[in-house]
Amino acid sequence: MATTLRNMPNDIIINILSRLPVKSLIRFKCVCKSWHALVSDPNFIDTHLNHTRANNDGYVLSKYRDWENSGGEHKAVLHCDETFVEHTQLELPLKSFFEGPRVVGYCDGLFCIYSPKSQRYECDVYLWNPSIRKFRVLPDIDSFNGSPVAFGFVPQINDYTVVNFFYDENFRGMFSRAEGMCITYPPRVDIYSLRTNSWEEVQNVIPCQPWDRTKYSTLNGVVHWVAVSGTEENQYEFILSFDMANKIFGEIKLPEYDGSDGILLDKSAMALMGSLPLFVSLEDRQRRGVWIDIWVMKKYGAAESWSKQYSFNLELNVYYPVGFMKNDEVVLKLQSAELISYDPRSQQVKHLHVHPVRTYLSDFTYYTESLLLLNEGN
Amino acid sequence: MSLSPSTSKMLSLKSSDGKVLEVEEHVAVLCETIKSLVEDGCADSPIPLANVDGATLGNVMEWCKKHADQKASADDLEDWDAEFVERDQGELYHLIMAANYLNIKGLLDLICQKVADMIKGKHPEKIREIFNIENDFTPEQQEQIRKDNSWAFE
Repeated sequence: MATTLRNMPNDIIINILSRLPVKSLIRFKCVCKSWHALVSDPNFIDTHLNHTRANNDGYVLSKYRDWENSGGEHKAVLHCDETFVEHTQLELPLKSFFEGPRVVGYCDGLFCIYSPKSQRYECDVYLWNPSIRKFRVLPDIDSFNGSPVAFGFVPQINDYTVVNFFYDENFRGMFSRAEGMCITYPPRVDIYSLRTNSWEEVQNVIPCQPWDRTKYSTLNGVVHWVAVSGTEENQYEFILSFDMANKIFGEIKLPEYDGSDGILLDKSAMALMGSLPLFVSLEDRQRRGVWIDIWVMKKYGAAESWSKQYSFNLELNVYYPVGFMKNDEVVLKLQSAELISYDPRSQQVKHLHVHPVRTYLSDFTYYTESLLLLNEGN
Repeated sequence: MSLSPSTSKMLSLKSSDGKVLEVEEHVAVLCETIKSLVEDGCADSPIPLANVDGATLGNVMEWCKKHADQKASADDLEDWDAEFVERDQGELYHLIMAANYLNIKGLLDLICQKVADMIKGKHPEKIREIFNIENDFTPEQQEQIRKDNSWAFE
């Protein structure tokens, strides 16, 4: 028999195992007691995660409603991160009613899911790691009928945080830009810590409303939304920032754009374009189609450093931008529900292979496996 | 002290089985262990490497020589490395232990990746055989772990 890899020092075993896919690691839990303990060890879980982060290999995840087979049940799908070809279907761990589950955010293999339980405001919010089939339902708080608006990693404290905004009846009704509501009252903000499994209320909140609660970006433990504030006569938009480590809100001025809509793009894009927030606006310039502008803030926090990186108008019926691919290409949804990618440098358009029924896909996120939540009971 | 190739002098390294290898200093210092000896002025001639046999030392220095070559492109190195790790388990084992002892991160990571690729998806019985590990679970414990994680065994 060939020489075995016998009696290897523990740090070499860790070096080897931290390079394995999670399925193999779960299997290897029954090799022996010491491997079993190692795979579940929080330090090993971190080491494995750092390795996965550095290698950045993974998939793109989207969700859709399966009207064909299961009466509109919500499904999640992994796609190849370059062609969007379907790879695996994922089963959500909890049933959801009414409007279905919403992916609040994704980070390091963990999804934060907002899942309504009934037509009244009852809901579950849970963290889900599909690669190891584990999830954790967050403890209930009074203000849950608000909504979680962000989920992210806080490197300063090596923890994961969910941010929840709640507007009570003092906040005047639903917001609509067309009607120009008065926003002078702050929401109640609570943050959840994965480490302590508990919520904490945040003080000194700025009176405002995130423009689109599903669009935010995190950078070094700071979340950013496009938000709106002010009285009816004097309304203004800005980037609302929330430092999850120090629990402090801040404002960043937007560039002077003349578009009709602005969204912040996700962090995969920021990492590529210099680790600074990005901004896209869409508009209909005298019905000449949708223009897309991509702004980059060259120096973090400095409003004067906004610059228009790309500006383009495709001769296609673009509905809205969905996000950025790893290679900086922009993914756009067309009026026909088709998805395309566009490379602003080479100006090339590519059609992405997403099943027509699934073009419900309205956002996607890069996904990598991790062992987070491995020690949960379920 | 200059470690540039043009002025590099030769170092002799002595393996556990008494073989002496002459290696250019700028190649040998890819081993952090040797580098600190050189920097501290403690590089006796020959440097005794009690934990590395002659054949493995030869392989390690071959890797160091390639990676010390300023002219090698990243693609070139990647192809070369892929060929370098095509070895049997015994050789890989000795290379890992040597890379660990000589503290050569690049080589250690390379071989660890090779071993990871080799064991990926294998059954636990095979893993015990490869690493010479004794199964210290009772059959009941073993069954419970499999049951709790049945999806990973599909």
